Amino acid sequence: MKKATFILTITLAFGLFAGCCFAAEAMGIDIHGFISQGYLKTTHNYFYGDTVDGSLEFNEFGINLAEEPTDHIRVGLQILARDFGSNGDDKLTIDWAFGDYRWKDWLGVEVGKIKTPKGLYNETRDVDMLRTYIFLPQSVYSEILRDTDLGLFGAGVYGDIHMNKAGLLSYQIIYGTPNISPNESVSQALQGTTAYKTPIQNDSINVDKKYVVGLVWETPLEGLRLGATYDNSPIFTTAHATMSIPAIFLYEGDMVIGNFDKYTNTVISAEYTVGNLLLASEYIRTAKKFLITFSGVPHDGGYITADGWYLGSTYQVSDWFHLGGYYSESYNNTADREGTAVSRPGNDIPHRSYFKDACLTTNFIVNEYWNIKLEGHRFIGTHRISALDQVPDANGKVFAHKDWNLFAAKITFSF
Amino acid sequence: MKSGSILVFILFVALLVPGLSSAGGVVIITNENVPTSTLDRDDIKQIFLGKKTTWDNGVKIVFVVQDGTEASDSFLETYVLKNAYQYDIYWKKQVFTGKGKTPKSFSSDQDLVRFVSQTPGAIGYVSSGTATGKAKTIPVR
Repeated sequence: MKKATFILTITLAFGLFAGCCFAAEAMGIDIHGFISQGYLKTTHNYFYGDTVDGSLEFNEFGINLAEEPTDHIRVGLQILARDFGSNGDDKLTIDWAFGDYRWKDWLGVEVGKIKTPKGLYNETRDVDMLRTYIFLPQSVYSEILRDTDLGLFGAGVYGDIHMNKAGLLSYQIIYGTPNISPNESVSQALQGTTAYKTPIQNDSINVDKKYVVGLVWETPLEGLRLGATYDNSPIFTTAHATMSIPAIFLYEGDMVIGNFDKYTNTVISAEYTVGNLLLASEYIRTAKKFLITFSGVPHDGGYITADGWYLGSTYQVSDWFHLGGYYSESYNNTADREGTAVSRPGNDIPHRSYFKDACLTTNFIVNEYWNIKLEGHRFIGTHRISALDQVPDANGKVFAHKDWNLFAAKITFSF
Repeated sequence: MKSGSILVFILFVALLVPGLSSAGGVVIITNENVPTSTLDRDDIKQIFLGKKTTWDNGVKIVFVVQDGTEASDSFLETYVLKNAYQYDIYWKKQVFTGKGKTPKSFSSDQDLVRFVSQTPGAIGYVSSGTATGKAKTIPVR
């Protein structure tokens, strides 16, 4: 709470400062930044943080520097701090930092920490003022899988291929490794996929090698762009058991090794802009194959596919008022969309297997530097929501409600 | 009567092909050393979106824009097919992902002409009728 107040103060201070200074440039180096403070309130369940009581643990701060020392070389760095419930805690991180040599329009090489494409909007997911929504659709841009999606330390090639009347094809191929915290994001997902926290505590989580391929085709039909991305992120985790379950020969303190030797995401995207109206739709399919080893015995987790999609639209009603909305669905297992197979006493409850989200949002553009958003969500299901964030209700239950609502508000200053 | 018909025909053709010299009340200008005599609409769009980065002789393209002027609104909607807000957001996306630098902007035709005249590889746009000095006016195909 104190931290949120601090961020809010900084936001306001930046705003006052904006009257005299923006988009600074020092010795040819461009400096840009943004700072956001949000508020979240849910009717039931905990959407990252204590949202049932109302949470201010929802902010971002970023600042970047970039310079072009020669015609073909670009270097830059963005520092990001973020707090989102139990994630981020406003620790400073390198969001991107790279050297880029663009030889031709159709071929450039980049090395460093590189933002990775996933769908059309992953690279800008932490920069609030670049979109109308507060939350991108969770089916494709899941907060709980954010760690693996954000960026890679590695190298990549990219370019824009001009195809005359066939339009423009942009491509990006990146190979590297992401930084993943054993306490946040995807690690929480692995520890809390059931209704209750699983009886293990992650000690380490690694994705040694990941590659991402992204394509965007600006089609000859003006305003229509189509995209496709594919990534493979094999995940290796080490954990220890926090309780004993003799029936499966798991004892407190035992080492538990998780090996997702296949973890792929395929996203196909379409976006159409006509005048002030933007329509977008994306579909994601995730394939997972994993092995869990404890007490020296490997247990095959099998091969599971998850999927999700959304259809959304935004409209610039006026210079200062934008309206948007989307409907999104995601499923943990395409072979069990209703969650009936996992529903048994002591294990999952059906609505942990799906997440349906109807969102309506408003974006008020105060001026070039400020915007304020108000957003409502109607949720059905609790897939994609961390079990670790949940607090038992008076009856000792978590995820007691399948139907729930979220109200979100956010104010952002950028320069 | 005959000359009247010819005048009407010329006006009709001019209306059908507004891009021959200018569109939406703006003209495209470049530095005099830029090695091109015409551009098509797609070239202009790709240049101002940062997708086409060098001229045919290998010199880097330096594109500049106007900020909040009528000429700017007209240019963006005619050639880049975005409104001012959409164009601003497009470049902010490039800036906050490290992929690009916000184009240099000017608040008057005269300042932009001066910059383009003095900067190798520069391209910009000004209101029709603006004195372009040493800068080269580029017809649009």
